[in-house]
Amino acid sequence: MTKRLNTGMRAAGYLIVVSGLLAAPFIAVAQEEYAAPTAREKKAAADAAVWNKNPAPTDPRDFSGVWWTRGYDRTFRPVTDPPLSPNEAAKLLPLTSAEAASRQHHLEMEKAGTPIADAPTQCFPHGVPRLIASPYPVQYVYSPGLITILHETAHNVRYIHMDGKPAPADTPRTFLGYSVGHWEGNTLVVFTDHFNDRTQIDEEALSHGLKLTVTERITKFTNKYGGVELRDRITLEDPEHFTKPWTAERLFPWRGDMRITEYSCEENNRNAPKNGITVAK
Amino acid sequence: MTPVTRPAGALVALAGVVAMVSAIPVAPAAPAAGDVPLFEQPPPGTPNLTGKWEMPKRITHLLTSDGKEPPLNAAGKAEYDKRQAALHAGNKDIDPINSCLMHGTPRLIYAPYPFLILQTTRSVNFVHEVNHTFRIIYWDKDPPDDPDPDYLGYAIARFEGPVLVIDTIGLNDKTWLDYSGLPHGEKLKVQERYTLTDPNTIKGSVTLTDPDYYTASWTTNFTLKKQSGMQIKENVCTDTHRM
Repeated sequence: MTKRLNTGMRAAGYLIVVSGLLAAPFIAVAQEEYAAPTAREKKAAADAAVWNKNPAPTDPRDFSGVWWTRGYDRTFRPVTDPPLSPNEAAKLLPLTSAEAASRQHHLEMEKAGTPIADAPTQCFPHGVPRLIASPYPVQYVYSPGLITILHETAHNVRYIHMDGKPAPADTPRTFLGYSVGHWEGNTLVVFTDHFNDRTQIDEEALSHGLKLTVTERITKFTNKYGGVELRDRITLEDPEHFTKPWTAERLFPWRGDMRITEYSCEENNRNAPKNGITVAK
Repeated sequence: MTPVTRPAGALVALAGVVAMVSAIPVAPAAPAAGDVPLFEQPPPGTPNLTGKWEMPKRITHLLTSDGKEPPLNAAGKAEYDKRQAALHAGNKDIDPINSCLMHGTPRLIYAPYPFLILQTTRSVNFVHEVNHTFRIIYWDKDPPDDPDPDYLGYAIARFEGPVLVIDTIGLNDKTWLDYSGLPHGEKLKVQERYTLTDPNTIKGSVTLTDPDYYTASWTTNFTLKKQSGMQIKENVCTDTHRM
C-alpha cells in the first residue's frame, strides 16, 4: 500500500504537483476511487465530517477561525515530489558548512541527553518558522490593515501587516520578526524579516542568523476527504546558514470543533534550561 | 512597583511618518487599494470597537465608582494588608506578574501597554502588547457550568444595546486584581462593560463579585483612548525579567 495516497500530507503533495495541469487531477482521483479506502483514509474522512459541522468560511481568502496542524513533526525539510522520508529529505537541506557543523552539534547534544536550549523552553516566542511547526491550534483574525494569528502555544501572536507599508525604519529585531502581507490571487503571501538570532528554524537542530528572511504562501484548499486545509509553503533564505533558498511546508486542517485555550508557559516551566541545556522534568 | 513605562505614542507616530517616505527594500509590492479583503467584520451601523486602545490615566489601585475603597471583608483585608506590607518592604516577588505569570482578568486591561480590540462576528479578541497575552471571547449565550480555573478565565460576550458586555468566570486565585494587591478567590465573577462614547473613547466599567474576599459586589470605572494605527510591539516578560 505504500504507493497509495494514504495520508493527508501525501494527498496534498499530489494536489500541489497537479495544480496547473487540468487533466492530471482527474487521473489521480480516478486511480484513488478504484482502491478500497485504508483505515487512515476512512479516519481522515470521518474527521473532516466532524470538523466541518461548524464549517470553514467559504471565501477562498477568508481564513477566519481555528486551524490545527495534524500530528507533530519536529523538523522542517525541503518539500519534494514525491514526498521523501525525513531522513532522506534531510540530505537535501542546502546547508553551509558552518550550519552543517552546527546541526551536527545540536544532534549530538540531544543524543547525549543534553539538548541545547531552544527559545520556547525559556518561554520566549518560538520564532518563525519554528512557531509554525508547533503542534497547537491557531486562530486567524481579520481587521482593517492587519491579519492577526493567535497561537495557543505559549500565547504567541503574529501580526501580518496588510496596510501595504514596509516595516517602519526603526523596527527592532525580535523573536517573531516583522511580517508584511499581500494577496496574490487567493494566496496570502507573507514576508517576514527583522528577526533576532535567538530562535531555531525547527525544534530538532536547524539554526539561523540575523539575515534570515521567511516568505510564506498560504492557500486554502479542500482535500479529497472533504476536509478544508491551509497549506503554508515556507521559503527560507539565510546566506550564512543555507547555500540557497529552500521551501518547506505545513498543512493546517480546519477545526470547526476547536477553540484556542489558555496556555501559560511561564507557570512551573518544566523545561526551564540550566546553563543553556534544556532540562526536561 | 512602577513598571517600566513604554515610549510615548508620539515616537511611534513619528516612526510611521519616517517609514512612509523610506524606500521599500525587500517587502513585497503593496497591494492595490481595496485589495485587502476583510471578513467577519461587525455589520455597518453596529458598534465596532476594533482598534488600538490604551488607558491614558494609569490606575494602580482600583476604587469603586464613587471613589471609595473596595468593600473587603476580614479575609480580604488580611490578605491585602499582607501584600501591601510585602510591597512596602520591597518584596517585588510577591506580585505574580513579576514571575511573568499572566496578569489575569481584569488586571490585564490596567497594564500600562496598548492592546488591540479585534471585534469580529466570530469572537471579540483582546490582544495585549504586555507579554503578548490575549483573550479570545466568543459570543456565547452561556458559559460552561464549571470551567477549569485559569488566569484569564472563561469569558462570554454580548451586546446590550450599544454596550459590549463581557462576563468572566473560571478564574484561578493566583492573580491580583490590581497593582496594589487587591485579592480575589476562585468564585470571582467579573463583568466588563465597554461603551464607545465617541470614535476615539471607550467608557468602561468592571463589576467584581467575590464572596470570598468582599462583602458586596462593587464596580470600578475606567476610560480608554484610541491610538493611531494598529502597530503592537513584541514584549516578552521572560526576556526582561529573567526567571
